[in-house]
Amino acid sequence: MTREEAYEKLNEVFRDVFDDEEIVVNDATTANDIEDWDSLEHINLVVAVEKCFGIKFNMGEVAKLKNVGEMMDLILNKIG
Amino acid sequence: MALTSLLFLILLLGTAIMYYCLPCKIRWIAILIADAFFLYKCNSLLENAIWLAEAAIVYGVAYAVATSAGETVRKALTYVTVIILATTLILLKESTFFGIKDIGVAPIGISYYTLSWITYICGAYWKTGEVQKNPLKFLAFAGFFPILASGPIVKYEDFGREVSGGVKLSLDNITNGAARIAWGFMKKLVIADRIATFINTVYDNPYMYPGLFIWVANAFFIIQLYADFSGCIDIALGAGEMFGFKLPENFNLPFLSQTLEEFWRRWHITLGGWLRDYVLYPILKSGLWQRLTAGTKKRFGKKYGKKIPTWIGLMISWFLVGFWHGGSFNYIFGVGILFGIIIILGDALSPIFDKINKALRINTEAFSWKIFRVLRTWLFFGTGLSFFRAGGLRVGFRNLGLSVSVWNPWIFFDGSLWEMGLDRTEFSIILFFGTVVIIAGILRAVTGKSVRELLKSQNMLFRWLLYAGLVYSVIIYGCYGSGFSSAAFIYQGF
Repeated sequence: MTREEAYEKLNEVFRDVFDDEEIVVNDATTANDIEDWDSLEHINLVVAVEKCFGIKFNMGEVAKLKNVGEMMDLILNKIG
Repeated sequence: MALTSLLFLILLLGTAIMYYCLPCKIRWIAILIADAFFLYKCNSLLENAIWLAEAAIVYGVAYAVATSAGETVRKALTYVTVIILATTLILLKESTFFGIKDIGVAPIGISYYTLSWITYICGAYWKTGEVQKNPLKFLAFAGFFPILASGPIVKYEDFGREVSGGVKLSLDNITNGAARIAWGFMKKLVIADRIATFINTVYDNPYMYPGLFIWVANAFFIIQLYADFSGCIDIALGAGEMFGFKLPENFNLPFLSQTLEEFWRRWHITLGGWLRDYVLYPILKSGLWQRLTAGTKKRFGKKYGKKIPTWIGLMISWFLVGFWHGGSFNYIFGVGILFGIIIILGDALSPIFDKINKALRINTEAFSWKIFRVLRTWLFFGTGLSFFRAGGLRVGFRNLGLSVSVWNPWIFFDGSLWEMGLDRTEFSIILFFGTVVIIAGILRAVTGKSVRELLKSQNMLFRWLLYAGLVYSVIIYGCYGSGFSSAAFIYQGF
């Protein structure tokens, strides 16, 4: 899967979790850019990403994610 | 050994001199010796044995987990060690909660180092944290003396590498660290220990001082606790800075928070962050919670369905925040469950509040509205803290009752407030230095820089005059008990 293809899937996950069809994320997107993305919604997002890509994040990875770019690196690494 | 004692200052100075005299690669030896001395002075032999045994387990297990390939072994080792650490903490600190007699043995700062060491072990297991191979270097990090008593709760990545490799001498680090220590001394000795007199008078005789006396005492207790705890953290972080270590901040202008949730992201940050990462997130991400979420989503719809399990997870976390402060219900309720209830109600009722605001045409962007929200947050926090200070849940509720049973506004005009152990001069000192702390906070909020950073662009003479004034103020206006030993830090009790 290329990064672009993965981003297409990831955008769908974000739109579903945050109930907003307008969301488009990129490497630099952080929780500050999406209104409802707080520390509680973070876990719902992570679980949805896991389901979508068929991967598992450990808690250390979950807590360390700084932006969507890091999340994408991790996703590609795991499905690689 | 209190962080405000002369002995601590001598230890710090002696360690810093030894640290910078040694070659960079072995500077950690100076830290290790100071750690050992600090532990020797603070703990009994048995407590030191417990501390050392726990440290040895953590070092050995983390190293084994980091280097072992078998997932089952790694997982088992990690789980068992975390359980051992948590059980030791609970048994030594909160045994009475479970009806077991308190044996009166607990290594200093067990509530802090246990959490830091769980972080270390988990980092090794998840492969997200570094592991120190040298056992003595690990001990130098794990027992770093300025943070042993009252935190902050740390990760190895915060300063472990710097401990191990040594940091080059920098005059900036020394002066900035020393200035921060003096600032912490001022908060603790000039403000916190002085204002405590008033609070003690009210809390010792609440029947004699009901109504607004209790409100004033509660407001003062917020000031005392902040000055005490953040002062202690300033000393710890300043001491770290003198060695070139950048320790994590524990406070970020909490009194500017507009909601209680925001407040707890800015107050005791390392504890809140720890509970989020090591309690709340694992609960919410667990299979059980995911199944619960699927069920509640079906029953209550997508929006509320996913909130309900989150609220249950939040309540567990808030219970633990209270329990961490102490295994009695004044802590569990006052600084735990009560805050959880307020935050969850705020979240659950936010659609209704939004409708009310719209109906009343309230401009939620107006400055006055933000001030109202800030004051409301202080009220919530102060109410919870009144239970903390009361020492018991029943006493807390009794005081709450006494605070609203009498309306006595004349105490502000008839001189009653000057007869609570603090005369006008003492009040003036608190007011002056309190204003200095508030101005420093406002400067940081506006510029994003600390006063020390702002002073860097000023002339050296002006800067040093201010530093000298600060030290002079601590010496002249500090509250000292016998033998240069002030009252213990409130958060050292945990």
